[in-house]
This record gives sequence, C-alpha cells and structure tokens, in this order.
Amino acid sequence: MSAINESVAIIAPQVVRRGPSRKRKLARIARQQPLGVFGLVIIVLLIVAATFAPLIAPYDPTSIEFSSFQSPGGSHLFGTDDKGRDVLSRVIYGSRTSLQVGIIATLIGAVGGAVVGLVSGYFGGLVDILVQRLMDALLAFPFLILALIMVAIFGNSIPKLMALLGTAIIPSIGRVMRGVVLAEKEKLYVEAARSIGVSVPRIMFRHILPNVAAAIIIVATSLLGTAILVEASLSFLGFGTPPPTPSWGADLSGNARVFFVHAPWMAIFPGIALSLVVLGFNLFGDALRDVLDPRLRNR
Amino acid sequence: MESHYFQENLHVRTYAIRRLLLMVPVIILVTIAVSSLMRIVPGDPATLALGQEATEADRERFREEYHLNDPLPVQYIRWWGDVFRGDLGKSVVQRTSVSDELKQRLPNTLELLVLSVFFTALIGIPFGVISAIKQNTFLDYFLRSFSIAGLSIPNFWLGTLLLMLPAIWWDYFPPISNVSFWDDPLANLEKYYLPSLTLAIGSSATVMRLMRSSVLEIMREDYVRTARSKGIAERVVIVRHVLKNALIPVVTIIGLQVAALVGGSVIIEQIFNVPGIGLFLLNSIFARDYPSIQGLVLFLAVIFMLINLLVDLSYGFLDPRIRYS
Repeated sequence: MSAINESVAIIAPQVVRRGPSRKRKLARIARQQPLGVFGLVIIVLLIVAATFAPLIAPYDPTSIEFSSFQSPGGSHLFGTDDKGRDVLSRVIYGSRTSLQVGIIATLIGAVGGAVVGLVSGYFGGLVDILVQRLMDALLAFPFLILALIMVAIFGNSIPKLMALLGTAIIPSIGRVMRGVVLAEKEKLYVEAARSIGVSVPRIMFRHILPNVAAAIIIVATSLLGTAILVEASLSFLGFGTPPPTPSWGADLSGNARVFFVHAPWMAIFPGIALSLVVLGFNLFGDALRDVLDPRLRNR
Repeated sequence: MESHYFQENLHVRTYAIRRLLLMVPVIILVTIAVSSLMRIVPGDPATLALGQEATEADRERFREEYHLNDPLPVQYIRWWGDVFRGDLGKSVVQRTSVSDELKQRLPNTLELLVLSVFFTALIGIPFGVISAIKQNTFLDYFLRSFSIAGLSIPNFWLGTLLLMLPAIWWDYFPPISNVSFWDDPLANLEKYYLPSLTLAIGSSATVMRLMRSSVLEIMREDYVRTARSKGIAERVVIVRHVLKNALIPVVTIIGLQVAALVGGSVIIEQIFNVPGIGLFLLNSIFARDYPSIQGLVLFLAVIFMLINLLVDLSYGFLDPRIRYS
C-alpha cells in the first residue's frame, strides 16, 4: 500500500473505510435481489417520466388538435384517442398524477401513522384504546371501499384525493408502528433516556422513531404502490382524478372502453403503464423487506 | 386432556365475545361519522334528489317524508330504531327500501364470491404445489412470474381486457342480462365465470406464493424424510404427508382473501354489469343517495368485521398452538 493511501487512512479512517464497503454492500444486495433492482429501475423510470414530462412528451396531453383514433405509429407512437389527444403524451403526463397523488398520500399516511402509532404504543391505556377504535373504524373496510366512501362524502379533486387516500393509509402504518413501539419502549436505551429525564416527546421522536424507521419504510413503500393503484381504481370508476387531467385509471376507462373494439390502444397503453408501476413497487417492496428485515423473509 | 380442551374452548369463546363487543363502538363511530359528514357537505338533499325544477312545496314534502327537519341526533337515533326493525332506510333516488335492494342483490355478489374463491383455490393451490416440487426449474420460474404478474395487473384492466379481447377476436360477448342460477344455470354461469376469474387471478397469485413456500418448508421436515426413507412413493409422500399440512396456512389466506375479493367486486361488478352490492354502492355514491350509502356502510362494516373475526378464529382452529388472550 502506498504512503499516500496510508496517510489518508490515518487522517480519515472512517471515510476511507466506509466508502468502498458501502458500495460493495449495495452491489452484493443488488446481486442477491435482481428482481428488486428491476423494480427499482421501473420506479426510477416513473420518477424520471413524471419529473421531466414536459421535456419527454411529444405533445400537450390535453391538446385536441389531432384527428381522432389514429392507430399507433408514425408521429403518434401510441396513437390518438377519441378526442384527438396524443395517447403517449397522456401516458407520460399520467405518471405525474399517479406519482403526485401516491407520494403525497403516502407521506400524509406515514406521518399520521407514525404519530398515531407512537402515541398509542408509548402511552397505552385509555389513549391507546380510543385511538385503536378510531383505527378499527377505518380498517373495517378494504382500502378501495374506504376511499370510495370518503369520496362519496367529501367529493373528488386531486388535493382531496391526496388527503383522503393519506387518511386511509394512516391505520395501516399506525398499526405496524404501534406494534414496533410496544416492543421498543421496553428496551434499555429508552429506560436510560427516561431515567436521565429526557422529555416524552423527545424520547418518542428522537430516540424511538429512528429505531423503528425501517418498519415505516417497508410498509410505506408497498403502500405507495397501493395508493397509486387505488387512485387509478377510483379514476377508473369516475370518482378519482377529474378530467381533463391525464390519469391512467380514467384514461383506460370511459370512452376507452366504449371504443375498445375500434381503438384498443386507448385502454391498452395506460393499462400497461399502470401494471408496470404496480409490478415495480411489488418487486422493490419485496426486496426491501428482505434486505431491511430478514426475519420476514420467505413470508 | 378433556378439561384442557374445554378450557381452550372457553378461551376462544371469551375471545370471540370480546371481539364482538369491540365491534359495537366501531360501528357506532362509523355510522355517526357517515351520517353527520354526509349532511355537513354542501348541497340540500331535497334539491339533490328532486332536481332543480322541483318546487319549494315538493322539497318541503320530501323533507317531511325523510324527517330531514329534525335535528341530526334525532334523525340518527330514529335511523337506529329502524335498523333494529330490519329497515335500513329508503333510497331518495329509487324510493325503494335499501334492505329490499340488498336482499335482492346479495345472491349475485355471493355467487361472484363463491366462484372467485373456487377459481382462487383451483389455480393457486396446484400451481403452488407444482412450483415447489419443481423448485428452481424453468417451470417454477414460469409459474412464479405468472404469480408476480397476477399480483401486479390491476383487476379493472384485466377485466376490461377479458371482456373486450374476445369481442375483438371472436365477436364473443358474455350475456348482459342477469339470469338466476336456478332458472338457467348455463346462462347464469356464462355471465359469472369471467368476472369471477378476473377477481380470482390476483388472489390466486397470493395463494400460489404461500402454497409454494408452505410446501417447501414442510418438505424439509423430519417426518417427510422418514416417510421417504421408509420407501414410500414420492407421490404418496407429497399427497399424504406434505399437502395435508401445507394446506393449513393456505386455507387461512383464502379466508383473508374473501375481504379483498369483496373490495374488488365493486369494480368488477361495474365492468361486467353484475347487479350486486358493489354496483349498488357505486350507483348510490354517483347519485349522492345518502340513505342508501348510510345503510350500505353499516352493512359492509358488519360484514367485513365478521369476516376478519372468522379469519382470526380460524388461525386457532387450524393451528392449536395459537392461544387467544
């Protein structure tokens, strides 16, 4: 080993040691989880498409300047729809709607669920009982039906969808959090913190939260995929993203079904995009669970 | 031995009773939330139901008919009084009884569910077993890819394709009208097999996955090795020793899938025009028919909570090591 390398290692041993080993660790994980990597690639593609939609999309997704029902190929790779809009541009912009609604809803659910789980698990007693009944009320219904009932009450617009889907996610994360917190709060470091007089909120958010973050990340990743799917389902049923905003669920419903025999590409391309994204989140979520929480492997 | 069994039985009963009692506050919470929130949102229910052209007198008569002039708590308590008499309210759009509508539609949704569970088991169990026995062969990879795909394809897209592609390729359309199974079984099944199959694909993928790992786990057990070493034919070992035990967790998962299937049936009933509970819910939401929504929410909440309870109880029934506390 050369002298320079040695001196670097002495000055900054952590930097030198950590850099390559973390990279190697990631590479090993990637080799063990090829499907997870594939899922991650799909998710990255989704994020790229959503972020750079105006640069990637050939046309304005709401522009109706083209002739209707052009089959795929030529200047319209995915064809045009009944109103003369470019399907490829709508699919690309649709990724924006999906990702925006999915991410914001999941963030609301993760933050709400973390708070609910921490409070319920840490305090226990009456607070726990009351909070859990509230969560039971939300968990009484499958996700889609809960979302439908909420939309029936509050109506639908994109911000409302984010808030409603986020609320619907809270109990799923809250329940996992509560279980983890129950186990965590008995550990020595919490007792140590308590004995030197650390305040309760600080124990919850600075001591316990970082230790249970893995659980939140695992659940949130799979719920992000679910949120995207439920947004699409609601839009498919006509209770989701209002037109003319491009949304995969809405685009493959309505007139796409009426004219399916005539112009199947209207329904097929948004459907493929949606299936790929759900597949990506499923594969990545599975891999993440294997890596972060080996106890759950093969379940 | 017998007294222990009795005690265990008692535990299960206490557990079930406690769970049933816990359902009461949840149901009260859900119904209060729905009934009050539905009325807080803007829009006069009378105008919504009768349209803009209705006169003030019509609207007033409507309000009288539905007791809308009473304070909300009075309306809520009156509603529970009706519910205990078996009356879930009256639709403001169809002007029909919600309970009658439910009774009429329930068999259709039930048939959809029964057929879906049948297809789920029919596809999921054998594919899972084959995948496990042929572990790490091409067939295993193929079946596992099929399972991942089945989990990822949104059921409404799959349903649209299953309905539309045969129409393009073979000019085939499933019947639109709904015929009772008892009147014409063939025509009835022709309407229901496609929606059931659509619903079953996703859940069969889950079942297949679990069946595979369950079989793999049990094939490593000592008693399976013993059975093999006794010289019993592999086929017999698989069927008699492995399958019997591997099925236990799978049965529970199929039960869990029922709740998911009911959730999915909403969207599938809409695609295939099955006049069931799900389509009723959608139509009610679309028309903002709040008495129907309120009745349906109560009905669905009770159903889902009972399914969840049954699933939790079945864990202990299938696996005696599980204790309820």
